[in-house]
Amino acid sequence: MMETADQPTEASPVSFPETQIWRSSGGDHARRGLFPKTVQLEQTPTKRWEMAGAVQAPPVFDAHATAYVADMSGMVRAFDPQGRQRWQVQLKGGISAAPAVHPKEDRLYVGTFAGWVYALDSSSGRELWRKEIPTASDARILSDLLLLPAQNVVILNSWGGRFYALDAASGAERFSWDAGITPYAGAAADSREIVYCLRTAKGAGLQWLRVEAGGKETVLGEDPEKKREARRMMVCAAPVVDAERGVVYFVANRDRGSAIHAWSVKQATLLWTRTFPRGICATPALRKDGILIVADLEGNVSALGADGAPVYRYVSGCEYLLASPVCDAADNVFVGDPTGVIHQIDRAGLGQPLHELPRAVQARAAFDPHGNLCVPCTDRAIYRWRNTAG
Amino acid sequence: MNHCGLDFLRAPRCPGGVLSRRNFIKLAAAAAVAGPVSASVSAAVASEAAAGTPPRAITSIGLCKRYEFAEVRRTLARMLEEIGGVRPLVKGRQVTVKTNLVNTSQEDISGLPVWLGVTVHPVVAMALGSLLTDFGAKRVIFCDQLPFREPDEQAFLGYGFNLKDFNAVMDGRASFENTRNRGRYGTYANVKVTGTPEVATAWEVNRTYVDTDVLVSLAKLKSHVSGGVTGGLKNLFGIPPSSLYGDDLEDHPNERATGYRSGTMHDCVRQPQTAAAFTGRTIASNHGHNVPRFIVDLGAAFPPQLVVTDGISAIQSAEGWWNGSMVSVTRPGLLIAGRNPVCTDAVAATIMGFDADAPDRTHPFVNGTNHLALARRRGLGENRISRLEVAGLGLAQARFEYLPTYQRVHS
Repeated sequence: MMETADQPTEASPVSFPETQIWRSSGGDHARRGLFPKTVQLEQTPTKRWEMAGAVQAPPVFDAHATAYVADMSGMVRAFDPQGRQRWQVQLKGGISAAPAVHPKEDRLYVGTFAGWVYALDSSSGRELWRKEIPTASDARILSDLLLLPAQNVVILNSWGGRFYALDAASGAERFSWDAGITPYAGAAADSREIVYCLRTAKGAGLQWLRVEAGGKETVLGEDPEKKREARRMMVCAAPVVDAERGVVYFVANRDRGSAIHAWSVKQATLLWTRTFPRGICATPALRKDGILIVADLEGNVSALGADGAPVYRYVSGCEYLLASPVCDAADNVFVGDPTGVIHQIDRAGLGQPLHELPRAVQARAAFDPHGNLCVPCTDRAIYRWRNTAG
Repeated sequence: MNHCGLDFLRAPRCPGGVLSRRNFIKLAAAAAVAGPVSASVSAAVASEAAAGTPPRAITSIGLCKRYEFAEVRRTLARMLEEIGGVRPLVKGRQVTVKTNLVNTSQEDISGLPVWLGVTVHPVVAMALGSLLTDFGAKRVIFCDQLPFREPDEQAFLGYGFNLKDFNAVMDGRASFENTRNRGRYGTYANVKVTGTPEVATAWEVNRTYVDTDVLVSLAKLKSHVSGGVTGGLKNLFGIPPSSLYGDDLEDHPNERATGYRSGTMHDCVRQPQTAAAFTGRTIASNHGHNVPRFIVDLGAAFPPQLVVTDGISAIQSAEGWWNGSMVSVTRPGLLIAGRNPVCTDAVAATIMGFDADAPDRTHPFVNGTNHLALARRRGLGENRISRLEVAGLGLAQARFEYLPTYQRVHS
């Protein structure tokens, strides 16, 4: 049963640790999907934030626990911690790329299928600037936006085939680089704002690379073209950065299957590769103990140790998984499936359906600063599970 | 039941429900019509169009999140009731189900089997077949042209279609036919395109599509780069056989041909090996011009009397594995059924977040002509959503936006 009023325990926050504020998909620019505290969720969602279209982008938050949600109809709405809508803006073109919130200024960045990037005043929804991404064909932006505060740039790509680093204050292009064929995935970055990303290139196959401020790129490794060539190597999962251990994980889709490549930043070498029989669309999550959580197109959630060894495999019962998992400090994993079932999996890989939503879940969930779990659903809503752990 | 739009008028029953294909052909023969045989309902359709009111029929939408036989069958049964029931249509009759299976079963989408994205899922086909036989259909033939020379039963296996499974739920009244050539018939059927053809004056096809009482289009809810959306109408594109229209033909028909129809019906840089002529109004290499017009000319020649669309799990942005990494899997969790293909497809396009009456070269028809609007102008059915009646889930609740159809360079 949905409640209209918030619980008394959810009074407006004074302040939260920075790691609890998920300003972009996966929490921060490392894309780990890790909430730094243990959460205890109620069995059923207690809030439903209404949207105009199917929600296929994770919600993002600011330091006041205001949620920003974008949907497939191009609607962007802001909700306060009590679930009251503060403003809405209708943009041209649907949205499935996760927006990004600026950590120092009242700014929200959104990219649309029409190929436009918008900077909105996060307190009012007022447009601050917009920029059309140049393209010779299809302009759509599908990649989750990445905001790098030190450089003050917002990074994204489009099916025009390039990554762009735009000045967060003005939208002016700072630098750009090749994004390859029909990219879905965004970039990730480490604490020094070194950017990691993937692309496919005819002849080369899939490449994973590092891009420094100013746009200098270094190809770190390649997964060569297989029988089906680069045009069928889908780039739909963003890299995941394990800053603590100096490892970046890259997902490579190849022919029928896929592989996870673990790249050592310190040694500048490939540590290990683990293959999967089907593709992977979802960006993996990273537990605090360094175990990588992978949701795949076989419908399984696999845990891989820091050495690549399998830790567990949870079978969701759905034919495939599209949404990325998230996890908490107790190593619990949460992931929604395309039949609407939300799965909760413990650190040993024992899981159970937590709840079933009315329609498919195809986008990554997010934790608000309180540790409440917010799940985007294609029935035009965000569902919020209350965290009772305090 | 939801009424969409203020100017809603009671939707007429699909004229195809009154006159069976076989009976129409008998009537046509009795009238000593020489030359190509005109397909069943076209005359009625044309007269409605002449009166300025394109035919309309109610469309039902059902929520069905899983490919579980009992759930799909239950949902579909309710939907068929909501569109007025199909028992009178199929009782004691032979039903041909043109099934969207596309041009190979040996591919996948990042390892996912084709029926989770590209083709009709066998469970949906079985559930429909089971209902049709329950309603008294004496035979249900599932058909499409498949690029395999194996016996029909084997050719369908790769798509998850196992004849034994079908017959177990259909009282042994199911059969599969690969219509890539004449098949079990000695001759082809020559079917005239009624009205003023766009690009094809007639079609020469396997007789399965004509020697039947009822034609059903069993489609998949997908985007389509050249057609904008795939549905009950676009599914008919698979009817012209490889043996006469295939890319692997030389200068004569070939019963062993298995090739696709790019040269004749997409690029239009070669003529089919058939007596059924094209008008010459195609444009070489312009898929966005040619494909929608062929769709409408197929709709005019083979108007299905029932459309069922599998929208439980599908692909978006484009229509098949051949579109490379631009396609992605999505899960609307829906079934759609109706008696008029234009109405049903218009509802489908609206569910996908598009305007079914959008101008040419705008989304989702971004690469060419809006074939739904063209079909309305040809009198095949109503595509303007405000004039359509929707039952079941209702449009607002069913809405499930797809990613936009891929826009070609220079479109």
